Amino acid sequence: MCGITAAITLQRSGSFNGSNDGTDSSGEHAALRQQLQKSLESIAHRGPDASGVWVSDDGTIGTGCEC
Amino acid sequence: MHSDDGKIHAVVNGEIYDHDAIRERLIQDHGYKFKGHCDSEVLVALYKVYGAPGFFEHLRGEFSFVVYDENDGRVIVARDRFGIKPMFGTLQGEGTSKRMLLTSEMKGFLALGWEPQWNVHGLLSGSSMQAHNTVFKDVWKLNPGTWMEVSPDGEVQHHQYWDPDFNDKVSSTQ
Repeated sequence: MCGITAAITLQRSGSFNGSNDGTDSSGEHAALRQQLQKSLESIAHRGPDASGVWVSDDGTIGTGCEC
Repeated sequence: MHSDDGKIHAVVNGEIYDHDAIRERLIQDHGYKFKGHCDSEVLVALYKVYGAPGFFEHLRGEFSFVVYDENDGRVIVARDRFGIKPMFGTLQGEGTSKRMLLTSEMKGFLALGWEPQWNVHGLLSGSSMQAHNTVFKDVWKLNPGTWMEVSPDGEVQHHQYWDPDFNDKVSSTQ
């Protein structure tokens, strides 16, 4: 079983949304990452083994998953 | 979970039945390059090959997921045919910062700034247990056998990919 969480900004067109590997060395979108991480922690019982947060380059899509 | 070409991103809850055989077919027939052995990767690969709604036909199992397709900027959210795995949603904010929150359990919304309010009418009438409703105001659940797409302009559409098919009771006794 897993737990998933996501935040999707509705208006996304007009921003570049290139692919990245999810690592975020510049610290962008740190607030969203933290929110998603805390969200996953609240449903950690669904997936105690591993977890990951991914945010698109322009920050309009944020996802978190734990297994 | 990311596709082999890095264009499709997904978070998946659940399991895909027969994923071993599906994986083999994806490798042999479509040249897909799997990174690991997680069955969720099969879902991403099937989406890459068949798209939505095409890939639902190939997805048997218990699942709820969010797929983001960089190719067309769409977000696809779906739940399995019987709603074995959960998917809750709510809208937050206004204007350009308006966003849709999605989660396996509603408590997951709290860290994203959600302020729960009871669905009073739903609780009193019992409708909170029906259809897409929940016990919280403006929080809905995705119906089983349905998928939702969110376009890059924020347009939301719901579709049904499966409905239980019951034979007509009268004809079966004739």
